[in-house]
Amino acid sequence: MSPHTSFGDEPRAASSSAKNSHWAETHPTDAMAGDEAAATQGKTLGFSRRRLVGAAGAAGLLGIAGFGGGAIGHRMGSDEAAAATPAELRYPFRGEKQQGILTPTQNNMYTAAFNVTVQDVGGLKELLSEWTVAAEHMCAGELVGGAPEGNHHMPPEDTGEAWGYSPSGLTITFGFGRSLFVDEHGNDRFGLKDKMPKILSDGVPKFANEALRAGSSDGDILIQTCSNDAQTCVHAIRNLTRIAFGSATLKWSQIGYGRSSSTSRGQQTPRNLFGFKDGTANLKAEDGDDLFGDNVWVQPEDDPNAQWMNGGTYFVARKIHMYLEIWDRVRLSEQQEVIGRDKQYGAPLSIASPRASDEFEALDFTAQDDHGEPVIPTDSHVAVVAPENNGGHRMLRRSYNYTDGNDSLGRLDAGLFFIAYVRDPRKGFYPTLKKMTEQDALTEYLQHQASALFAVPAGIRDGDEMVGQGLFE
Amino acid sequence: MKNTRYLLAVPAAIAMVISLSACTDNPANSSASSNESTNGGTVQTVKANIANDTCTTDPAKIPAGKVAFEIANNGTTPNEFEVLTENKLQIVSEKENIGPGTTAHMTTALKEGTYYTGCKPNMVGNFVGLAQLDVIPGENVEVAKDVQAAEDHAISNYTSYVKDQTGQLVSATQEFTKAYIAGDDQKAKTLYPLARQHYERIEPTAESFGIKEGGDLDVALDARVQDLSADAHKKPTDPEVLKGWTGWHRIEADLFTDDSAGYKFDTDEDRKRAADELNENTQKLYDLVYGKIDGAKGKFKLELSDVATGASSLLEEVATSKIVGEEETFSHTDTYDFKANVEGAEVAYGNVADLVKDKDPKLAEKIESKFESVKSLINEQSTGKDEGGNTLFKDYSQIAAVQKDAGEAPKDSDYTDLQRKFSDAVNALGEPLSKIAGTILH
Repeated sequence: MSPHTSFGDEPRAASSSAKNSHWAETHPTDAMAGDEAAATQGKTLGFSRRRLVGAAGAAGLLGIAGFGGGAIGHRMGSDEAAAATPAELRYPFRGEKQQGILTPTQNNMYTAAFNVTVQDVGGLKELLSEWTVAAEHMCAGELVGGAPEGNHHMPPEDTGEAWGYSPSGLTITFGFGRSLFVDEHGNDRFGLKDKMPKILSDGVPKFANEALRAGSSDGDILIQTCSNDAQTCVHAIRNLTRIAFGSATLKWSQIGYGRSSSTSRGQQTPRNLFGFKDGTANLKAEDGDDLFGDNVWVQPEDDPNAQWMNGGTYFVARKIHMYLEIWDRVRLSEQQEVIGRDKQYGAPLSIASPRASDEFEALDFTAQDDHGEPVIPTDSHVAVVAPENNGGHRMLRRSYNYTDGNDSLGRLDAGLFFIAYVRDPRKGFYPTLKKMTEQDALTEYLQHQASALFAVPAGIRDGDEMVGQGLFE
Repeated sequence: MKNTRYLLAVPAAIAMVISLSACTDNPANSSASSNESTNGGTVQTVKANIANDTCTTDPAKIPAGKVAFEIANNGTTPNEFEVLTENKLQIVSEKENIGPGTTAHMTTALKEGTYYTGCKPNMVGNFVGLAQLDVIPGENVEVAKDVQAAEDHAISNYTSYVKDQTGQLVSATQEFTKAYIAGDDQKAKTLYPLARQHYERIEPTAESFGIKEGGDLDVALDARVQDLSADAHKKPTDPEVLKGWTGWHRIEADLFTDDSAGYKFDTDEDRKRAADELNENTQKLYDLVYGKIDGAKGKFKLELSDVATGASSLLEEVATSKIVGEEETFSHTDTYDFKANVEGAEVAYGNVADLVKDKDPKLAEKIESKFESVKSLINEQSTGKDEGGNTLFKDYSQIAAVQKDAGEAPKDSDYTDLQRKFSDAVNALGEPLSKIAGTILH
């Protein structure tokens, strides 16, 4: 190969021209995937092999260009999802917001929480920096640490199970928990206590009907990975866990499948394990900046001590075990009354003969049957949690179904890993959850088993060396 | 005892180190700062200037020898700087995550030839500003002699250690079996874990030994009944299984269980036979190590790769069988083995520490601090010392969930916080230890 001619030394397009779009500009390999030189490089240097195998460039680029168009970037919706197959999707790791929040919900999730074991803030920053580099590699479809053939005496830096896979829309989202700021005695751990958001400091209140397991709740640092390929998610968490050995340990992790909510109008509303469409009233990316500003993104006036959280959001999760065997013996009419919606189409029960097109019809809580009873029972799930009955507060749901095998009695250990992204859980989320655990007829078939609250900072900016850099500035 | 994977890996690793040690004047992949004690001579400085769209180096022509790159990132994104071989396929040296507005340093040694330098904004995608760097004849890269000497030193030191431990093992085993045969069970129980520590310190080496085939000596000395019974598809107490079971753990089962368990020897002769067999096999190990007899692979000879991988193999031992209490099912003296494995690993590392420090001081620092955390965790389990200065430990079953009498393994939920701490500390040490071989065998 002669010098200067083969690859990679093409002048890089000016990347300062538009935020969020530098990805497309710096990855000309997509457009020249057929180029022999590029292929050679991909095989031997390792950085574009996943792209070469999986992603046809044009579709990937379309997706990214669409994303970059919006100031906040919610417009990555139906058009782009249609333009690329789930495997071809590739989202930029950097941007004004972290990916994996508004990103159209991928099919699979693997979320993990870590406890930091290094004692000094330098060690913490080093960990975050290493994680950031690896996450950026993986979201780009590259191998962590480059070519594994480099050194035969060294275990490869990348564990290899996603070698040759396309990123399948992989997103990696980071959050910080209360225990990163203060230890169990309230002592400042890394000199960050003064910057701890009040929301973390307050913590999640106790609710009725919960049997929380401390071992699978909270943690110092959250990493949510979502992708359309389960193995890509596992690969991400596995490699990040490995990088963390000696600096942080895995506290809990949860695999989710069958996205149980949609975050974009282009997506069909999925079903939860009770067989009902879930999250019909969820916030959608298309709902506009104002609604997200009000309900999802932290605003400068929210917390004077935690200005680093501006533009970020809060991740609240509840692991909710579902008593599937019991539920499956409940007659259909009662199932529908418990939920408040029609099982087939997801239409409100206030619609007499529902069709598929009725799913997004407004819930009419005043509609009555022949006996003068509300058609949507007042203790039905939708009546209890509907935003209109909860001060209009909305949340961005990003839940997943889970099945963790079965118990010793042969019952499925399964349910919903409920995730909500909210601007302030104290305003909408907690009151709604409190109401739900006390009044919701559905509660009879549920048990809340784990709880997690994390502050999710805004996106990793172009110049940032690590996620959450603002926290350390 | 351990699986056969290690055994199979040894010949290949040895072959590789032979060919590699012959070319230690090629310090490819060393990305360490300069160390004047092993590398005299002048250091050529190359300034690398990174902007968003460019990546330039000055000068573009340098004499062979040590090169110190001063990499200034004047762009707005974190960047990565790499030095590639002429075919642009192999990375000679790299520095990741150089923050905007910062200057990073990277020292490497380059032989005469053509190289390329390039940058990767945000560490992903194609290279930006790939540029040719010509290394013309100059000073020889003076690492060969010193490194060779350090390597020879590491090998001979570690070989002496293995010999020393084997020698001590022979006498400690004799002392232990003497008490055992004499029926002084109390004394035998005290001596059992202490004598075994000599074996546990050099286990990966001992594992590679055999007269007929690699590892058969380890089976004779250190087999666990769980493995034997699983292989035979029979219960651990099946006479057939017990008949073929020799070594430390056979005596452990007799010594530390009562009649109902089904492991007691019927007669004193049986006891003596087991003890004699252990002594004979231990002597065989000694003879092998001292080169008095040839093993399955000929005369005993350690290579640098054995030292380099020895440390992480010992940690693997800890991670797989000690933490979960499987090694010492009947005596629950796992912490003694644990300590010995870590001590052995520390010695192995200590012999190559200078080599590691030279190539990757940060790795060395990490390894040393993680050794400290594991050691302090082990020492916290100590109940004091005996008159001989040996550290004594609590019964492992009192502090951890263990397999009871070769029965079912504990459930995941049974493991204690302490086991979790052990596991975390061992993982934290095992990761950097696994990088030793790749760091020094070049």
